[in-house]
Amino acid sequence: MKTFQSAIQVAVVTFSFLFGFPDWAFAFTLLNVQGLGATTGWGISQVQFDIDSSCDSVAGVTQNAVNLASLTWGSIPTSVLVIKPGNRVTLSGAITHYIGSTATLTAPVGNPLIYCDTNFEADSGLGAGSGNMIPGFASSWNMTGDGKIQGALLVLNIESGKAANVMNFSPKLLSLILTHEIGHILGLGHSADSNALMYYRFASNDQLVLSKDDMDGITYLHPRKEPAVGGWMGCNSIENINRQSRRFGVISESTAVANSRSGLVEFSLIGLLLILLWQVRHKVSRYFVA
Amino acid sequence: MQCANRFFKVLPISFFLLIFSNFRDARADWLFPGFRISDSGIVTLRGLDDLLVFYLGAGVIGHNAGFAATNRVTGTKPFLGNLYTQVSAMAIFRLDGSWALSPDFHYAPLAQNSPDGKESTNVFSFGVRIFYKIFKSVDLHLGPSVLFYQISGVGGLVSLNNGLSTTSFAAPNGSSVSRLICLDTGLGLSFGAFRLDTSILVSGFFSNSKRSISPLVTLSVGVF
Repeated sequence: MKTFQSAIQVAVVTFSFLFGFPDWAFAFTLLNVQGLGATTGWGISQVQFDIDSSCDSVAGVTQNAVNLASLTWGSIPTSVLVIKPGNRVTLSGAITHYIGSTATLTAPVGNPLIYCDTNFEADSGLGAGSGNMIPGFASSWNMTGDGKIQGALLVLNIESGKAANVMNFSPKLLSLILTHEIGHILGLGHSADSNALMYYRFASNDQLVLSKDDMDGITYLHPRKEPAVGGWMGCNSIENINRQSRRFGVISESTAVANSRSGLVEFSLIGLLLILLWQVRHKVSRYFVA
Repeated sequence: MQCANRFFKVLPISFFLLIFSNFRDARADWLFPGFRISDSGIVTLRGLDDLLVFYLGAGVIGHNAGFAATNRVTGTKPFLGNLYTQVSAMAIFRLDGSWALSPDFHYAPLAQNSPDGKESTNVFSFGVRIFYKIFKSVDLHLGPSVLFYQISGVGGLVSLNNGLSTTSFAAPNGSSVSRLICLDTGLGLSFGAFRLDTSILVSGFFSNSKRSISPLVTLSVGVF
């Protein structure tokens, strides 16, 4: 027993010196929609972003935003969330205001929608000058009584002559901003961690990377529970969905090829490595026995 | 299911090839000579040499190594990931020749807490691994593990800057647990009653976007 106690003490002290006990800042929050309370996420594992026909003039920018969101938010190992490009749709009815009680547009039930506004400053209701500061924002959510999001709207500023028109931003900064806003669409609030993508402020030299805080937030709302939710060992991730979609002709060959490599390659390499090690051991044992 | 089908086809074939190749080694038994009884009748504990040994230990797991950035300006991602100190329990059943079966359990008694105390995260795992002894004191292992990642919150509201003013956001309320099926592979060293195991837990193995590696180092002692 004394040996055992000593061993535990030695182990704990050794590992403490080697690795320490880091306490990285994290403090993610959840969206708290006025009158509806805190969100509990989308309640589904695949979220498709539809793009309104108002974005046709900036189709490249919006498509790029969805692709980056897919790569960024969809790559969290502990979350089941997969983000896919949706359809081109056309909203019906005039939109004159989308914030507060006088909003004429609430997010429709269904896929989250990206809408581009040529009259952003007036329609947003954020006041004079907002068109020069705000390139876009997640403006409204359609939630059930238990906090499940069933629709959301992301508005982009494409008002001509305004400094914050999305076309005026560098691709890098714009990708940061839009991925942050898509984080809101997915149910996250702001974070107190300055390294988090969901921190309220960016610098032009920031990288499009997730912190532990961002990953924890999405994981909390959309946990992966293999094999029931998320399949076996990542089977239901975006590239495997793409692979199956390509097989059935749902998506194009070029879209799927980018993510076509499978874990089969790695698995085969591990198998070969084990066989190689066995061969080495076999030869060494023969040498010593002889 | 296409992906899962591939997994179930490849895994048995790989194990079959390894086991079949081992049958050719007629001298494999010398690697597991069983209980060591000296002339004076003293039984010595020699780890994998015994039929069944229970180990208790402590170690460190680097959850999602190289995944979460700690610096947004440089994009730095720490090599060892998010570190949790773990206690572990492990049993090793000697099977035949160079082979052994080992169920193991790891738990982090010290959860990571957010600075405001509203959230905490923890990691624990269990698995069953096949051990294959390549040298007298060195063995490889491979097998499935289930890795749990728990996020807990106490709820309440948090007021945070939104650029123009402040907004009230909700802190997580309650617990959320992710469950990941991992491939556990690594190397173990036996020295007397002690073992040093180094493992990597590969989650999301079939996904390029979700794949993650969590290295695990454990120092254990055979208790009986």
